[in-house]
Amino acid sequence: MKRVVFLVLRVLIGALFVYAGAEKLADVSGFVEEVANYRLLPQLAPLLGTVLPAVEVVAGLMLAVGPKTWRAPAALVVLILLVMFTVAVTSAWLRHIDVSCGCFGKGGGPVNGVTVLRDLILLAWAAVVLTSEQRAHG
Amino acid sequence: MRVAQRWSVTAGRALLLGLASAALGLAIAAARPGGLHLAPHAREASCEAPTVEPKRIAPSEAAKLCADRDVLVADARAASDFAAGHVANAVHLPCDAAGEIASQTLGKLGAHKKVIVYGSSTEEALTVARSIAQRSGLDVYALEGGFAAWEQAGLACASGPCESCAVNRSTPESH
Repeated sequence: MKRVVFLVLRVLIGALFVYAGAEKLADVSGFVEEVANYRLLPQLAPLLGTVLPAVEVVAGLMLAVGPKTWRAPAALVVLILLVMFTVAVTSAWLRHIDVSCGCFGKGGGPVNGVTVLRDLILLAWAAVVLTSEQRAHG
Repeated sequence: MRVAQRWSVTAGRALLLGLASAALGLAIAAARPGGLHLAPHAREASCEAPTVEPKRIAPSEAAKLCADRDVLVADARAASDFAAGHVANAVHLPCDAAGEIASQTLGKLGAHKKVIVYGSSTEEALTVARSIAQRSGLDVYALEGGFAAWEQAGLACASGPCESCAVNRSTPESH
């Protein structure tokens, strides 16, 4: 039973990242703008906006359907991405910047407390998946 | 395998995975027609370079604000649409207008503290609202649903024909 729960958790978060990354890949320039609007690292916005969608898709794929030995590393990448996203949305929320989340490309709605809470839940979710994968196949 | 060693291997593979996928992202961007652009965006004063995301406002909320003397209502639609009917006292400020028109209108923002922008759609309003927000630093709102939503709501600041626009198209914002 426990294995099934971890399997579902792993595949779901992997699929979520594939979806989010694919949406951003469809409009990279739009995502670059979204990143820049956070006003955190304006110099790095074009680079981050260009590479993050691909990292999300690849890490999501490896986590959901990749070889066993690559699931824990993929989970670690997903966790690091979520730490970055959580820091960004929390920062925007605390600075009262009225910015679109950009979490799913043009979707995702404006950044608010719900966005921060959602990212924290995803962060905890990724940590659980990483720990379970590390124990199982590390 | 020891725990620390296990984590070390995972971290190493994660780094490899991250770098490989980042390289893939760069390759995909480079292969696209527009090519790869990694230089920071020049924040020009144009409709294409927003720095601040305007707030979205529902027609009912905008109606409460528009009677305020501090608030300016800007119409982002085409001049013909503006001439056919617009929110009372709105100034015409389309995104595709020449910079001169935008500058003239922006010059009138001095006495106002807030700007409500509406267009044919929310997106059209957002494009102009971003430009105004960037250039003026004022509190800028984009009307949700466009002019149609405003009309449909039948609000106090009703629309009406713009007589002076029809006569003098060169200065439509003068209405």
